[in-house]
Amino acid sequence: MEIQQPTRIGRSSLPAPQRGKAAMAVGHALEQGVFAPEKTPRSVRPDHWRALTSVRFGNTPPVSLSPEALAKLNEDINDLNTHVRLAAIQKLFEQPELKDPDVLRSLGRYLFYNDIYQPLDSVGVQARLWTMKLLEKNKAFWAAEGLFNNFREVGNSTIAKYAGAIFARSYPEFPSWIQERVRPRLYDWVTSGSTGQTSAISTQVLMRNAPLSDANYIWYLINTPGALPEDTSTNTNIYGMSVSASEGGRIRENLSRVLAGIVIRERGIDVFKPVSDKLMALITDPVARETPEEKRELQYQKRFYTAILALLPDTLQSISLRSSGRIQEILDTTLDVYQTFRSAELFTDASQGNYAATLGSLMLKLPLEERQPYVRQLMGLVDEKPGDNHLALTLLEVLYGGQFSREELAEDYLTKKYHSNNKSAWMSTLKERIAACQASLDAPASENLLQSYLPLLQEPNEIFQQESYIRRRPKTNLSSRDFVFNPKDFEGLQTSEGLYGFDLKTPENRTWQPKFTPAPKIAGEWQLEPFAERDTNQEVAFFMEMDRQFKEAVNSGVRANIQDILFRTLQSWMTERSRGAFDVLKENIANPVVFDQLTTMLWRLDDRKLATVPPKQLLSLFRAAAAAQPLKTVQQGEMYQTLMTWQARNNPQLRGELLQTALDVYREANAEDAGTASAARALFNLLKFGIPDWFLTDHVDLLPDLLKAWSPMLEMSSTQNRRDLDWAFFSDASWETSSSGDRSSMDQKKNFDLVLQLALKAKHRPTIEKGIENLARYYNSVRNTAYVDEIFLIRYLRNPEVVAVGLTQEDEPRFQTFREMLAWYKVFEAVPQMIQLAGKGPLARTAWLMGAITTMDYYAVPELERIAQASTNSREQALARQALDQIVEPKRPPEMFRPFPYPLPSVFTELLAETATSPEGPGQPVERQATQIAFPGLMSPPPAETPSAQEPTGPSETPEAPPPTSAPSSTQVRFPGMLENEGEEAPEDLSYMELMNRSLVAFRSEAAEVRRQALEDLMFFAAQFREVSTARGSDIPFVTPEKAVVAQTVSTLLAERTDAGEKQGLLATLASLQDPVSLPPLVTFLQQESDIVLKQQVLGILGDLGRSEARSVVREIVEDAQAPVALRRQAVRALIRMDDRDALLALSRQEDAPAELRLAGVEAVGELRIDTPEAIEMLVSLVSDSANAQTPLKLAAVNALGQTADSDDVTVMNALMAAVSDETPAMKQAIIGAFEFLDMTDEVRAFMTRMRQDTNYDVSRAAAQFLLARQ
Amino acid sequence: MITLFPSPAAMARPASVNPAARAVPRSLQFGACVNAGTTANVFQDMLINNSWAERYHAIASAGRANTNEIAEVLVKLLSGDNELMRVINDPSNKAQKFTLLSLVENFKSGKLSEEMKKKILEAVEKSKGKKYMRDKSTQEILDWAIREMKGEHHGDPPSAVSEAQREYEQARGSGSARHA
Repeated sequence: MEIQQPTRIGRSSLPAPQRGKAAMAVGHALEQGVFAPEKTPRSVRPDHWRALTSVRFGNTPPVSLSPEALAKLNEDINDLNTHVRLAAIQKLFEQPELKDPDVLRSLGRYLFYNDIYQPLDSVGVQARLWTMKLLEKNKAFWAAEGLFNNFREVGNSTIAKYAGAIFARSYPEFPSWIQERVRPRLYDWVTSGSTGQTSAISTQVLMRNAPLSDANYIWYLINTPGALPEDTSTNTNIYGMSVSASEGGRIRENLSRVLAGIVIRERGIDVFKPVSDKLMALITDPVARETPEEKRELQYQKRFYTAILALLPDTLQSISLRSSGRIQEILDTTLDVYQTFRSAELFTDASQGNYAATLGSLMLKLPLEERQPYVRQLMGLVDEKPGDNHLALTLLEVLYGGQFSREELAEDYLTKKYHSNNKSAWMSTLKERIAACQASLDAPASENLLQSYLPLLQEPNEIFQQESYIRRRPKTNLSSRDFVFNPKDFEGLQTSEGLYGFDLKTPENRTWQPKFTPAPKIAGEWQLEPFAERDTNQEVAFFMEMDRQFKEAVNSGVRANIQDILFRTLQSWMTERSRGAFDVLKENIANPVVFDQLTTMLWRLDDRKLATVPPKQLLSLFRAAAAAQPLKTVQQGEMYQTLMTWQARNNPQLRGELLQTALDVYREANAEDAGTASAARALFNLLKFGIPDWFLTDHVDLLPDLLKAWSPMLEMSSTQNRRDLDWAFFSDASWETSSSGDRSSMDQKKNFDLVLQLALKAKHRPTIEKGIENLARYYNSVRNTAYVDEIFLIRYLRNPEVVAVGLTQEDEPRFQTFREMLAWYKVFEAVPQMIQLAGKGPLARTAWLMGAITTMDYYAVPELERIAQASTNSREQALARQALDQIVEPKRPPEMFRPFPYPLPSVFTELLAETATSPEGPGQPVERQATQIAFPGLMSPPPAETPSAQEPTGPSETPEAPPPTSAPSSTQVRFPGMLENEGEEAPEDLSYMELMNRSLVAFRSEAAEVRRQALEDLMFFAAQFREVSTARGSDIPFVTPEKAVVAQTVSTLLAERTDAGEKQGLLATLASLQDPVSLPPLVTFLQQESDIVLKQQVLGILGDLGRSEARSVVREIVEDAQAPVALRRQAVRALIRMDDRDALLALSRQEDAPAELRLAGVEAVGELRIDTPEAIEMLVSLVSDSANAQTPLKLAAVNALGQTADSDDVTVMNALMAAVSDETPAMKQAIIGAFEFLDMTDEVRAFMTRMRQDTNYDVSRAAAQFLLARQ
Repeated sequence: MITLFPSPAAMARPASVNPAARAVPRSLQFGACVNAGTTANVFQDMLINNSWAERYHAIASAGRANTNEIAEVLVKLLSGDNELMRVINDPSNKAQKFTLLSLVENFKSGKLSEEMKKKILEAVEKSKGKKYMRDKSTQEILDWAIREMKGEHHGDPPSAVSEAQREYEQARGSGSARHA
């Protein structure tokens, strides 16, 4: 295959030889068809990679990836290693079109979470930028939320700017419901006055995109006292970066700019002239403003007008005026505005430069003779005011007929001659030049004179490379140009070493890539190193003698003898590397005493000496020992473990064999031996260096046992310093060097990872459960900090095994966090499983799961659509539809854009009215064009907005916020690729009310199953419905006629049904309405029902409602001596929630009431802090009554006194102190506790000192603590 | 059902995605800054007239209002104003805790006027002697709140606070604040 053009490798920073290699690699790659990327091995050599990545930007035709390749890349996007992620993302960029929803969502999620709060290295930044580019390229704007997070990224301005740029550019393309959600946040940022950059970018985005309907809201914010921080700025230079402005001033400035953007987009360039006049009038207005209100009003108006005018250059900049005949008119306006600004001294340096440049380009569009009057007029203006240099340069530019750019002129003219930066000197030179130019133009032989300047300009200059005047722009001032994405900005980064150029170690160093090949199966004798030439016979004789002595010592069983001979053998083995000595050792190692001694000796060696032990021979020794079950004692086991780990760490090439050995030792170890646990630990330590495939295939039977031994490793300490823990999670690099013995958090992570990986492979459920539990613990302990490794969590949450285990444990509270994590981390991969489970009930779980799914938002959409269309289970289908409905078509208008009562400001409406009545001349097209180009936001919006805005908008006609219910169509969120048969398949759009009614109808069905499901639906909808109705925007959220209808229907059903379970469900529906409308049916039910359990449920609901209307009926139950005590108790609880003090006080005095009930009454007095004299008196009498000694009633009374008594009530104090005699320690402690909020008198101090001497430890400690706290 | 974007002040994480817990009026979240006068009334009305769950929600939501008007109502609530006494004298002590947390959030938002901040601090300090604040963990939160407002607190909040915060976020229903 021939390569047409060697792409753009030439531009890269690769040195020539590498470039050649790269080109060859490309050729090779093309020949081999490696661009079908599934064939591209990830671990190709780096220059191949480089070649591949460079080709990407050349003219190689893009190749579509196969689904398998996409799936592989999807895995890479979720990889822990940033390098891998970056490579995958870049690979995806080749795709002409990326439709795979899984990949897109992974990208979105990555953008949403990854390391937002982590310090970003260059690779991380690259990966983020590329992800954003990719999402934008593929128009995946539903990922706006992720973009948004990056937009707020204050740590890295490139990222923030780029995200901001996407917002500004693509805002109109966002689905409208996302726009509706984004806009309030943008306002939030403009008004929060947080970091300059965030608010500046937000302002830009809004300036380009805010609809007219926002105007009154903005005006309200600006003008309502208290809505924004006070504007204390005294600076008259309102526009631009007036650094001295107060926070309030800056916010109002930004908001004015947004307003200005709205006006300009509504009215085009015709608005400038009247505004300029108005501003001039305001400035020259002789009427003095006295009151602060008037002054402020004036300032705001000025600010508004100024903001509009300041946008003129931006508006005009990109107009193509060549075809239009209105240049003169526009130029007049611009000049006029310019003069206004200049005379009012509203210019900043930057804005003046902007203006001057605009003037210049406008003038240059005129024919030469028409230009003259303007040139003269401007020449008259050039003065020595600050900023006039811009004007002078513009003049020169025009005079030279545009041959030289302003930058060139500035560099050559100004700085060259006067690089001392003496402004007034070069201003005067400029003026001379201008005059000369002008003269030369006036003179007949104009060209000659002009020519004489040219050499001056063409001289080579060096000094000016250092600094140019014009290019120094204030850095904080964002102009529209900052939002133009220039691919060149990224090119430099793309080709620089280290970003693209994978360094060799990266792909291989991935966390779980085994680093070694499987161990060879060893048959018979162990292979040993060849020996140096020696006198073999002599040596053989020597070692035979040694062996004989060794055996003798062993047989004698005397430890000292063994030690002695072992020491000599070891010495020979280690220092001389003698094969004979090794053989002797190996012969005798099977003896436990020998093994014990050998390991002890080795274990005592320091690392350097240990390194002299031939590793293979040591291994061989262990293998020989393994056959004899050497791990008799704990100590032996530990030594063995340490030695193995040490060897594995220092001899990477031996790891496979070591693992094999460890396995053998483990398999042959006797379960009863004390050291056997070490065999498992040694195995674990070795596996931490990597899990080879053969281990999993051949020894999977071992895993459950092993995991049982290892599951304590899953504990992730939550007390550990969080930062350390997380830091460890991120720095993979240092992981290899961590020693096995150290208890660092890094080790914890690695342990965790290993055990859970193995457990998942072995499907070992208890271990997986424990793993989930600990993931949740980790999440809980760090979730409110910035330091959480989200990719690490997501990695496990995506695993179907983990999800299966986690979801089926739903009843245990500890797994609630798990589901929360699924929702929060948008683990869309789990949606099918969640729906499946949700379809099975019970209701609480269904509701919970559905909530979790809808929290995932549009990330869950593809799965939901798939289920809604293809599932065979109708319940699942319905649930999916329901979730889709809530995600895709939110019924709720954003509160902020509800019709807003505040009228549009008069300045604003007047302005709109004025310009609307201005004659619609031939200039109209230009104007439209102008606004469209300058504000890309206007390119796409429907024209519908414009006509409504053209009518003069009176205060009564506040623009109705477009109801978002109609705006978002479901197609906007659908993922590409899911679009085939939409339109007719659009899910039914039912209101909640209708859904409720359907369920109510279904509930009357005969089939029990249908009824059960209807009931579940009913409750679910009731909860949803309640949210919708309360958020609908009524100012009194609790009055809703629909609820009354529901309550009515449910109560009818309650009367009809007989089944207790169904009644419970219906009651729960009423409860979830949480509305007083459910009171009457509940009360009726309570009076008529006989079932105690149901009655208790009703009492609970009534208590939660806490309304006094139901008091009487609840009281009746409390007073009903026939009623069971449990029910009466529940009624007491309800009374407490209803704040029925009289009834409770009465109860607490009722001596004939059942003890339990009276106790509840006394407790209630304390809980409600009833401090009437009667209540206190009653409590005191209870405490003082010696008949009550050591009863719960007395304890409750003491506690209640502590809660209710006045702090200086001496009677209470005395009663309490007197009550202490003959009491249990618990009662004494309670009495001490009751004093906590009472005053410290001398009596009390004496009392406490006495209690300090109490024989009971707890009592005396409580008293001591009391005294300590009061000191 | 749509979760709002994380707030600018704090990256939010949902403490709970339980629809039942989330099913609460949201009018306070943005409404408060839109039309402060009305919302303060609505807020107070919600405190008095609603069920307990909604009271808790209202208090927790007010934490994000960050306006002087809402803060005023919260202060009124904490100081045991007659009308609101029934709410703040909550037997389960939740209303007390939430009010404190809400006030701290408002206080630290940077959007309240200085006088209001002073008023809040005074009210919180004064509430120490109130009977309805006599719960032990409430006292702990109270101490923390005072330290927090005075800028004296460093490090992790005490466990009583974080526990209450969790419930508070749950009551708010749309995510917990990251006090970063």
